[in-house]
Amino acid sequence: MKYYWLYLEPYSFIWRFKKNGLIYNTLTYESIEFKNIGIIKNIMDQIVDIKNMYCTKISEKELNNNLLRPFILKLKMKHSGGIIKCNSLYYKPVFLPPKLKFVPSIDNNNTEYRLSNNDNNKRYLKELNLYINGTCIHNCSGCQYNYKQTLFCTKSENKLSLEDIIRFTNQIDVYFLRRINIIGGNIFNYNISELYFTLNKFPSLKMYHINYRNANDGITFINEFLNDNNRLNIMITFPVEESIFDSFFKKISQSFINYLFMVASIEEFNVTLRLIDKYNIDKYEIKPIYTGSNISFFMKYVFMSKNDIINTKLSRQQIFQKEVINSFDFGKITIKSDSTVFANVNMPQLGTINTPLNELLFNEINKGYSWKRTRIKFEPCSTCVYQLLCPSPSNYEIILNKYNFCNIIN
Amino acid sequence: MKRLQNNDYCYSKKHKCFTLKNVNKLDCFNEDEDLADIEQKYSGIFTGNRIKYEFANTSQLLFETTNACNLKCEYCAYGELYNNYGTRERDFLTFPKAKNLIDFYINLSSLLKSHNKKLSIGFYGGEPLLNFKLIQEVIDYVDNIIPDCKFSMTTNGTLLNKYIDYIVEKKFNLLISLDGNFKNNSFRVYQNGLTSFPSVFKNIKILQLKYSNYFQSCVNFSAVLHSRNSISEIIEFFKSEFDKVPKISELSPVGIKEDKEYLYNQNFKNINNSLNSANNVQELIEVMDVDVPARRALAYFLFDHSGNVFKSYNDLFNNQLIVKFPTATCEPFSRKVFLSAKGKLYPCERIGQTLDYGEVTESVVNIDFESIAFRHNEYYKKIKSQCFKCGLLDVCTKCMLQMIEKDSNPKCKSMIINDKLFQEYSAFQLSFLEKEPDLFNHIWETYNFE
Repeated sequence: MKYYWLYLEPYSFIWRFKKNGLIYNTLTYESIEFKNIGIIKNIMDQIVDIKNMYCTKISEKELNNNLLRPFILKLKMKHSGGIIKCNSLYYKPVFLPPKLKFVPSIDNNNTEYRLSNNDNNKRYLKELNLYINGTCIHNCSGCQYNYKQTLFCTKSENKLSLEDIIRFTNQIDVYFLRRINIIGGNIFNYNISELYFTLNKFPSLKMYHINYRNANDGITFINEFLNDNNRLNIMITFPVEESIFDSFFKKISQSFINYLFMVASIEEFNVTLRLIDKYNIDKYEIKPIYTGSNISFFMKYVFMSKNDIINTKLSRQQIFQKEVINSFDFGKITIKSDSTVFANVNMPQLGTINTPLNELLFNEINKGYSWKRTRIKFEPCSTCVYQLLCPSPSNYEIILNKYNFCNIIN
Repeated sequence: MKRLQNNDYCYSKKHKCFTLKNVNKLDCFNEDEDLADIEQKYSGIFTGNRIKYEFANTSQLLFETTNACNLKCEYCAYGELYNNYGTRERDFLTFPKAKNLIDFYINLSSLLKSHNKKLSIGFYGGEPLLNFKLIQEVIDYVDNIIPDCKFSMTTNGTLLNKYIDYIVEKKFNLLISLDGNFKNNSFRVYQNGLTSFPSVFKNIKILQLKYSNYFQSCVNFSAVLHSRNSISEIIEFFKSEFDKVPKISELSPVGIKEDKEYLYNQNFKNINNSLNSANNVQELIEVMDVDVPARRALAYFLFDHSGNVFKSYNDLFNNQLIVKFPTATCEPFSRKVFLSAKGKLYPCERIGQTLDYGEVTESVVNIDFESIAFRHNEYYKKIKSQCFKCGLLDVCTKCMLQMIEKDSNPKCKSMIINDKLFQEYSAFQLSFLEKEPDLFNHIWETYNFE
């Protein structure tokens, strides 16, 4: 009888849970869904057995099995695997399965320990969110919940002292910091020019955030201080008062400005498109906002379908990332205007602005709930074959208390 | 039927993976990275502040207590076989210099150190115990000001009898150099030519009997393989006498004097040859495990070329967030700060002593982080053109500072400028894996070295 080597390519992942199976090719981004039962299950059990190195022997009889044959053809067509004839003169070929490994130094055998403690953990700080104050005269409807879903302004009675900000930021390893977000309240009620010069020593991007209703308070700042490294994000919530929008828009140079529209319905989305068109805005983002009463909007426009998920283009490295860290939260620290510090504002507090930075980062890496919040850890995603193709869990999942933003598993 | 042939593989540098040649291959598999992308990826630039952070977060302060030694081993890297070291004038490091460095480190680290980052203090020589007074003074000083500090030392073992109680009390991680039994160790002689084995062996036995728990957990051995011993003899000796497996190394091939090459060749023994000629090869391989050169080489190959191995969470973002530096040179001071017996500062004890990074005197520490950054950036500028042509760019294991020649231009002698050598290397490693596929999992689960 003839025999063949059936193999998976080293750039293809295979995930199986119960009767569901998925093979994903990280070079072509194509996937193959299969039923993990019968002969296919048995053969895949062999392939994923680490000692077989992603390759197993099948007989001609198995190759002609009416379930296995079309599956193998798909593997070949999608360049995710294939078969070659066994030649008794040759050794069995090896394919290095995509299995993540961290290599610590030889003097410490515990990888997790090293990643958490022995590394210079300040290197992990990539983005710092500073809620410098909370004062604002407006009463936007989403003031107390928008900021829990995405970086957004929120009111409070507090403000951070410039001395505290200076002391805290002096501890940062600037080489690794990519971005500082400065947000309020209304940041133009703060001594913003002094803060600007304080933070300007950082080579990283400084992004100032202001609600469009407060933009008129900072026209001078906007026109004189912004540049490639100091940019402004103007946040817009609904209902939009177009007269305010109109008044500041004409006064400011648009070069270093981004617009963020927070929409809760399709109607707001349509208004957003109209405004973008009317004002000829070219740098903008549109994000959904959950109000507590617009779940149907989320289900229709935000939840992902299986097609959305399997059409995601991910490299091997990006999939490894999703295995171990939360790509939304990792490397980010938020200091609220009352001086409390969080890795994610929806999670327990890490410390205060007076806690040494290295201790805050140590706490998050060791005991935190945000940076390493992956789908592998939450039901129902933990048993879903698509878990590593999905985006990392975001704040929306926390607010909605629902971890699967899809209709794959109900 | 006995298998005779190995399969042919091809490698994608861009995607970092191997697959079989001539089977259903994707076009994108052979795509090369753009030079512009490579330049962007390797556009890292050091700043003085960055190096200051590394200094404050170093893992080890290493003191060369003296460059003098009471032995005159015939193969010593500072002996008559070699010419690649500076003058060894029996200098002894003084406590005021060591103290100045410790104070400087404490000042910097109080501001910049990563939380819970532990420091170890190492003592190096010559024979470090020849300057025991300094060791004691340093430890007395740091005992109260650096909590949980660990101590380590490499010693030839000749003076252990004098300081054993102290070494055990301070829980030193001890690495003792010994090449095996009386005959095996006969290159390790005193200055007067007498063999060191009887006294060293006696000292170690005293340590083993008197402090068995300490001996078991904190004492390791380092043995050099040469014409008077073999892998089998070394393993057998250490197993039966001390229940230990020593680190085994070959004679260093770097910097041999031309007129001593015959002597070097006469004394040199290759680990693989010695292992394979033993009657109990399999048994030895199991005992040595990661220290079997072929296994270690396979592990390095897999770590470097599988595309599945990372050093930190940050590396998972490397294309998006982190720019790299060419070569495998450490960030200066990130691993250790080495203070020589002459009072010069280095990022490592293994680089030429003409490349000092600062000086510690009896009164001050002279170190200019900005100029170190400038110097490193200049070296990188000079080496980049060589690296960008090299087939091993992404997986280089060489230290740039060990390539510096007299004119301050780093020149790499291991550069691979075509793919042929790389193909031969990878074919060799994958063939080995074909024969021993179980090693993949073993390496993944148990090997932890960088």
